[in-house]
Amino acid sequence: MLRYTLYRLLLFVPLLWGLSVVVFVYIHLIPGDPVQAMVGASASQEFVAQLREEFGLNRPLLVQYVDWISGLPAGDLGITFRSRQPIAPLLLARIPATLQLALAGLLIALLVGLPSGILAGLFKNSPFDHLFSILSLAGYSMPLFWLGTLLMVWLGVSWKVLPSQGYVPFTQDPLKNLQYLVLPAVSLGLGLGPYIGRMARAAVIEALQEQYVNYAHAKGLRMRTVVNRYVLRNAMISLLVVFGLNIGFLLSGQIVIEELFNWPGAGRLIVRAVLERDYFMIQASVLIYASIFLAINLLVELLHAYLDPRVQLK
Amino acid sequence: MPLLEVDDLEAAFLFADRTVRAVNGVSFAVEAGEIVGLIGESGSGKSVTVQSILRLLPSPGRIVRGAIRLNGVNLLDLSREQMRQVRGRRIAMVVQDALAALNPVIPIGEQIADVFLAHTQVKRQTAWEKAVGMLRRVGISAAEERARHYAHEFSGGMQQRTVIAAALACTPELIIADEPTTALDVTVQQQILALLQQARSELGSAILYISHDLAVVTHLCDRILIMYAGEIVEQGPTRTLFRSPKHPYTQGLLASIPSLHGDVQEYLPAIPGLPPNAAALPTGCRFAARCTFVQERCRAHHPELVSVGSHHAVRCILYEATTP
Repeated sequence: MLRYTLYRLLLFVPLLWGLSVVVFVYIHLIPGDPVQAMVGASASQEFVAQLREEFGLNRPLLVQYVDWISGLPAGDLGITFRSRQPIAPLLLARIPATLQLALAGLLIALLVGLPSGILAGLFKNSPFDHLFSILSLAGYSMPLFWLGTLLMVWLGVSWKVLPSQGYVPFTQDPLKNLQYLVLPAVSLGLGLGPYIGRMARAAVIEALQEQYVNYAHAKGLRMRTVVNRYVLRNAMISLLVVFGLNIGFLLSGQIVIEELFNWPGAGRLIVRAVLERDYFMIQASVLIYASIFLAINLLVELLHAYLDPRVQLK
Repeated sequence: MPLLEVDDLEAAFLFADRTVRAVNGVSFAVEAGEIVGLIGESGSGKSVTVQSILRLLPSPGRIVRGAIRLNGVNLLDLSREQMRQVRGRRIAMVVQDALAALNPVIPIGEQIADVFLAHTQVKRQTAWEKAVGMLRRVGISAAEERARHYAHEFSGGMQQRTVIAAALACTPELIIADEPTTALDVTVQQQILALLQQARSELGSAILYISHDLAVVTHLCDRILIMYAGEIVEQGPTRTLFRSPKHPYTQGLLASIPSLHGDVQEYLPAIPGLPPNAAALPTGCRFAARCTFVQERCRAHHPELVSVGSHHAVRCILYEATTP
């Protein structure tokens, strides 16, 4: 297990490097002059040339890349185009709010999706399973921004039970913070929950068809033992893997929800960067989000190897 | 009273658009300590018979008719919990694909310990020690260490030994072995067969041995049942059946065993054709379409199982006439 972990961690380094190349090339391949795009068409040629000089955009691409990447290990992500502030502290300041929303949303999604999906899978074709299929399909098909808007209008605007917009840091007023958290977290959770539920149902049904489940019954094991140790144990492992591959759903959903509920997380920062055409900020954010995606997948892989003894051999 | 008595068993798969009649009026008995071979090709209904005995028919399979009595008690009348206590404790199962039957993410020892935990009042630690003991008993060396391993780390023969260890755990009265050696090479096959024979002689367990291979069961079984298209077409003591097979199907099966003695045959005789579709069975004899001795009457008349000697019975028109 230790060897496998070290191996995967070592492999992570070239993966991150490859990611930085892709992100850099991707941003610079976008047609048109970035500076022109940022300042607008009406700006004078001299001004554009001056900015290009200031941000070092006249240098060869390779030099620009080396300059950019050499700052990364020290946490230097460059400066924003408009305010000329360092990007890293800006992003870092958004992490607590983003992390809080992500974890709360994920928790709600798991609470909603896991039990219902498992039950639907265990009692396939029962009335509960049919109800689950209808509800989860509805939830699954509903766009996140629409679901969030509905909740906001009902609970926040019409009935005024919860604040619908804004954020108070937990350290400042914990109770207020949680009040503000409820609507965005529930929206994110209800958006992601049906997704997890359907994956859980499929994983359980797949496990139920395995011969070792049938053989567990032939051994006369109690239903509880068969379900816990033979069905769920295997189903949860495959669910973990599928979930890791689909983590992008959570990350992108989070950006939508943050924007909708005025939640000052990293997602909103990205949306603003895109609207302001701040190439440097976009570049840094894409790199960070993609790194988070890879890091979560690394975590899932290590967890998978820990839970499934067959993995390390491959 | 026989240990196991299958009486006029009829099992079918009720699909929405058709009914597949997999087992049609099968009756047989297994005495305590007896080894009985149930022979038939794929789709003859032998596995469905076994699944019916354990009441583990996959959906949409149903037992339509009949009784399955263990020491006189009809298993079909038992509650779910009572049936659970029969499985693994009184009737144990050994399967063909041992790797698929073992949980890939739980150590081998725990899977045997689970059997003790399900049927006896023991602590987890005791169950584990007993499981290690079972592994040692089926000939797995360094059992303490091996018990912590996972199924994929075992060889095919060791996987099958593990399944047998789980089956023998609670000293069952009956072991149902569903083609346990099919996936193994010949030397390992012999070891597994020896292990089953040992179970009979040491524990007194009866064995119902399912196979499509007559050659394998010759030395193991006291008695043989031949199944074709969901019914028994011939049954008798192994010796009798080999010396004087009566049913054309049995004769065909025996002829297709390669011989090590006598003349070298250029071609191994095979039975032409395929078994009938169980969703559309013929009205007459089910073997008629493939039979070399087929007569006009065979296609209309469905023959009964008739006795042709001591414990020897056959389902064929050729022998019906000879009985009064």
